[in-house]
Amino acid sequence: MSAQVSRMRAAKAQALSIQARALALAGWEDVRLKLGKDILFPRTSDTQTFFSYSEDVYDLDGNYIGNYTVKIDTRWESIVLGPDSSGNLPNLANPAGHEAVINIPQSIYPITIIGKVAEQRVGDILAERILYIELDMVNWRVIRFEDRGSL
Amino acid sequence: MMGLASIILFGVAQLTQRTLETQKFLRKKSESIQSATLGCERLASEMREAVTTPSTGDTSSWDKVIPSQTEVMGIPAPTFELTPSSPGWSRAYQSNQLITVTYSVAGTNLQRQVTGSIAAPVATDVNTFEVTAVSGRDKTFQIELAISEQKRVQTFVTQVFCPGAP
Repeated sequence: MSAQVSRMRAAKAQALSIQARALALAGWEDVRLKLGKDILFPRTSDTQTFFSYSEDVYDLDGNYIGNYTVKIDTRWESIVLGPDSSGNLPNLANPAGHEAVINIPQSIYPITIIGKVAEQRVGDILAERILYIELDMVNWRVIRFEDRGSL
Repeated sequence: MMGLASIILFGVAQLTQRTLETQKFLRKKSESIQSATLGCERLASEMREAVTTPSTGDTSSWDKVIPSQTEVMGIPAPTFELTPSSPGWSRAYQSNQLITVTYSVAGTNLQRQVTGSIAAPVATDVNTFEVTAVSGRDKTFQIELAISEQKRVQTFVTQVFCPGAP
């Protein structure tokens, strides 16, 4: 009987892990859309090296399922200054003062997403899954994707 | 009196034996299902990490970034956000920074092999294994894993979207 209890516990842990992965993937979809639609996202100050946010997830009946946290590492955030309103390109050796009409994003964003399953908004975490993704903003391509484990 | 005791003991023995048989059957059944779901789960999670297109058929292989590789290919982070050198950044990991992962069936085991290491089983009692590209859906693959269990075949199907596949 005790062996059966262990097996049931293992099966439950496996299901929770898959739920946590689904939450993390929901976080990935969310950040992918934000990055794809909003050229000003993530808006950070000059001294800020990462940007993070978290979203709660509920089922259709309004029951709390868990949350996902997204952290975008902005250390590799980079842009190339475009031409100004007169069509002049910036002096790359001294770009200060150049008023570009549009800047061209050149960033590579390492993104860490953590999906957490919990019974309540404040309470024990039942399962957690971490995804690490590197997104090349120039080619809009994922160059690295890592599933960093579970439970 | 002795006869009655014998009948009761025989009955208890029969009941115990059948209970044990039922438990053995249930254990075997849950083990096969857990083995298959774990195998499917592991395969799907690893296929999602692909940076090349996974091959289809009864053997599937793809490349993924070696987990110990330095983040962002080791490119130093720029010190100034308008660093003009950023267009020259390498934007893909080199072949020596990747490993090839292969899933295939050997006998009745689904096995996983990584370049330069020995194969390890990830699911047992496997009947068939197949990876197919889902038509009309970019970078999406379907994994079918069928296991033999008590003269029955159970099939597990999962679909994976590989964001890093070209």
